[in-house]
Amino acid sequence: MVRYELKKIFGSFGGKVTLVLYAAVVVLSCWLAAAGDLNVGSEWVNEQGSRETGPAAVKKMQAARAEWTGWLNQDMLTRAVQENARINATPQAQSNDVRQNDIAFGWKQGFDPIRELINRSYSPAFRYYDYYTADGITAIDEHTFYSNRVKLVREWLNDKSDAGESTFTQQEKDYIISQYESLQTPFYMEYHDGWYQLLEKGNFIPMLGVLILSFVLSGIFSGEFKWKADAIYFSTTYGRTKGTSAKIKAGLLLITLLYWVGILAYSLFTLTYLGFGGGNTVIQVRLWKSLYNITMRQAWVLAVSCGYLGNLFLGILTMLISAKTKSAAVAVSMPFVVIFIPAFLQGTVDVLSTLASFMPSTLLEFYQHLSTFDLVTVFGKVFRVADLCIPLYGLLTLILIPILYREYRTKQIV
Amino acid sequence: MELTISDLTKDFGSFRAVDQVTFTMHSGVYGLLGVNGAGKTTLMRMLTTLIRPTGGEIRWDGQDVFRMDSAYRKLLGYLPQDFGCYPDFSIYDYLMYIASIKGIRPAAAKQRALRLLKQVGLSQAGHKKMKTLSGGMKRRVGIAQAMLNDPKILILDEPTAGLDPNERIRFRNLISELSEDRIVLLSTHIVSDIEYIASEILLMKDGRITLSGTAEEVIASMPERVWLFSVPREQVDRYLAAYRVSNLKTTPAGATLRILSAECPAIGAVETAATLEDVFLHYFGESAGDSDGTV
Repeated sequence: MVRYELKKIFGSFGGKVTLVLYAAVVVLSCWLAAAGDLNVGSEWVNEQGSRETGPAAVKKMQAARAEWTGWLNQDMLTRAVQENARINATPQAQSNDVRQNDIAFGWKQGFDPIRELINRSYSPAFRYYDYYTADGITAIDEHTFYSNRVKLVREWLNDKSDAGESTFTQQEKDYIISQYESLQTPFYMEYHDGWYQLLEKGNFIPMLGVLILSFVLSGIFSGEFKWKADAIYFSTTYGRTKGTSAKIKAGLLLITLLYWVGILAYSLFTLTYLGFGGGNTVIQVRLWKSLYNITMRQAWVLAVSCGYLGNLFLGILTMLISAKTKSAAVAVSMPFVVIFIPAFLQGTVDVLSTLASFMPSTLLEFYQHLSTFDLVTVFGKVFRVADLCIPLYGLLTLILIPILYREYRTKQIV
Repeated sequence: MELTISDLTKDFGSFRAVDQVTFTMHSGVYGLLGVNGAGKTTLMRMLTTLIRPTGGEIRWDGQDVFRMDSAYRKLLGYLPQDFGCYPDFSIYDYLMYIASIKGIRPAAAKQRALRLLKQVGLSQAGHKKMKTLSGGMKRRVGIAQAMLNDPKILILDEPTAGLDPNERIRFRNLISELSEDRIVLLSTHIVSDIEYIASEILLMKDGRITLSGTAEEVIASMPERVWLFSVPREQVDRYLAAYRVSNLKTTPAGATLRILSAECPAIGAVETAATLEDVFLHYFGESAGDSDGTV
């Protein structure tokens, strides 16, 4: 029965177009990872100050970063500060010619992520950023480097002139500080651009994928009515039972197969192209302020799992609406609405902004939420987005399946 | 084998579509005759468990069919009046899919589908996409899907609607062939569809079964008599206004009228045997055959 349900979908022109579109999104994601303007890791500034891209550029970057692989301790921090100062003192760095400046920048590429962390750590305020902060540092202390992170957030949370003080309850402030304090230091630095790229641009497939998928999912249940096949379908022995289960299974199979094939193809391509190394690097090397004390690889697992859960939830919701309304048009618009609602809620009242963070769209762009302070206190316990969204939408997804089954099983065909 | 319908009622808001219908069916062909809007489709949709009745019950060998659920639907074959199929399926795929949701194993389904395709004259067209079929071919696929599970109860809602005369005759013969050892309930507003094949005729009007019996019993129940006579052209309108005219045949001298009347309508009128069409006209009057004028 499942095979026939899939045949109903992909036998049609619309179904085939959907498959092509989905494949296009995967290809686009891979292209962005490799050569697009949005890529973060495949650009190399050479000795002439010119930008290079492609596999050779990746190799050069990997080689440059290899010299800065190891624990980010006093030695490495001192070395980075000294090297930064040495390069800044060169005629190329001092020159007014941009090309010369680019040459100087090229020499910093190996330790650029470390330099960036110094910018963050030695920032005068939590919400302040200056690219040149590191250039003003002449001596560095490992303990201060890491403890500044906690100090800055503590100051921000207690600063009555800033939003941090009034946004969070004392319990939430304590939670933030405790998360900051429990981050293990020193960091281990190694080339991690493959994983970083995966996380940065990994939301295309979950986000665009579910929108594309909704076109076929919305037809699984409403198709019987659209094709006027409902009377025969519901009068058969198993139309209301196994037939309905087969429709649900076909929908779940479709979401699962397309999502994982897409995500794994994208991930495999990106890591093959940009390198598999650096999965064990903590995400704070890129997301300095994050409350999540996890590695790049763990963040990827979390992000793709959340993406899958988001696709499942929205997919089942689409099917439920199509079953309820007998209309694909209403159902197909639902994921669009759900995804774009947070954009309207963000920046309004605090409660609505927080609520927006717990909408299903959060699951689709989970990496972006790793650097936010979206917290909520329930029964005296503080939860982050992931702490709540995963069990919440996991549970809702499980609840929706029997509701969908019952909705279709008891359909009256007037 | 007994399908009993007791006080079956269906309301849609304040509108009563089926009103306390009661009858029992055993093996044989039952013709449900009524004008459009009489409640035939609603009655059939309750019999196929597609909609739940507001009141009353349907029992199969004493068991409530809604409680029997899929066990009852296992006995059913249904051809709706206005049905569609999956446009990109071939006929064969469509039958195999319907067989799967009827719980027929693939090997048996394949055999049965091929046999039925042959029976409905589509054995050479099994590969054709459903969206390319003519109305007649689609109806034949419809009857094939209804017969896939060799149903004990075959419900056909206006099966000949939209068919040309040849297809209609072929379809009628096919239904007659398939009626052995099962209950066939065939709804129509076209008298000739059931005149020769129905073992019992049920006349439905305004949601109620107003009359039932064999064709002979139904004809005999009509209180009016049927008269045949010729009139000059200028008198035709007068007779049309004064009597129920079941047939009017134009002749060079005027017209030959077939009139329903308790008394002799004119000098020279000859009484003739009533047919089901006359009965239909008697009971359904002016609304008979509204949709296509076929009585």
